[in-house]
Amino acid sequence: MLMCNILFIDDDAFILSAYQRMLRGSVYQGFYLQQPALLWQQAYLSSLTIVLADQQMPGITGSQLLLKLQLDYPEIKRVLISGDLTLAIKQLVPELILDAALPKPCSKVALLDCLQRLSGGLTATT
Amino acid sequence: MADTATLPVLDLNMLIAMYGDGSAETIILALSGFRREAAHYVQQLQDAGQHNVTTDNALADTARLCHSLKSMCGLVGAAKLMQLCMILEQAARQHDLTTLQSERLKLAEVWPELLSQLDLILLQHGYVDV
Repeated sequence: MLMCNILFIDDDAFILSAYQRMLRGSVYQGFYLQQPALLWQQAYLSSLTIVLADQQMPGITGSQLLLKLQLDYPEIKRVLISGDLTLAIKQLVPELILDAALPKPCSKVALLDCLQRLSGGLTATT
Repeated sequence: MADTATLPVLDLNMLIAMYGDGSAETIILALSGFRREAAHYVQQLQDAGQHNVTTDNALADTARLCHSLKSMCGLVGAAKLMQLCMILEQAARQHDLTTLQSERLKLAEVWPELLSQLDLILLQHGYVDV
């Protein structure tokens, strides 16, 4: 079966466990990272199709992280997740090109819909 | 903003809509995880209130804690605590110390009320470790 590797980055373990639950039984292979600084050491990095990062994290914002990802791995799709999406989008640097943005918290329906669009129409559930 | 008092303490329909799943397994996983994590956030907010620290860093920390807790509440349908977090976050960002102080006191009512509801629903779904 065709799988799509997705990475969620959020410093909050509870939120990551919710995403994990939402992806259960789907065609997506989820990876979950609580410490954004460790992203560049992950062996799975080059296999990722989509990275979803929370905007508000200690040390680095999601948009800063996604900008670096855009420079180093431009083929990976970038999704920003924020509890205040309007403000986060207003504060984006013009160089950053996002493929999507999601509100936080987001529902399973909204998440799978976003992933399906970005993965080229992979059916969300098995 | 809606009045905190009129909102439901815990709205399971919101949790089911967010997780897309109303199974006992999912409800237990979500509520027990929330109970554990949210307790740390509430404790930190209450500690900060007792020390009454009003430096820029302390207010930024309060805003950050409320922002995170607000998202967690939104996932499980803890509507009353979510509303209180929104008010506290806004007050901290605007350096509105009067609102921050008075609203923070409401944590002492809202959190125990939510804990009772969490424990009740967890028990009803077969979770015994409450």
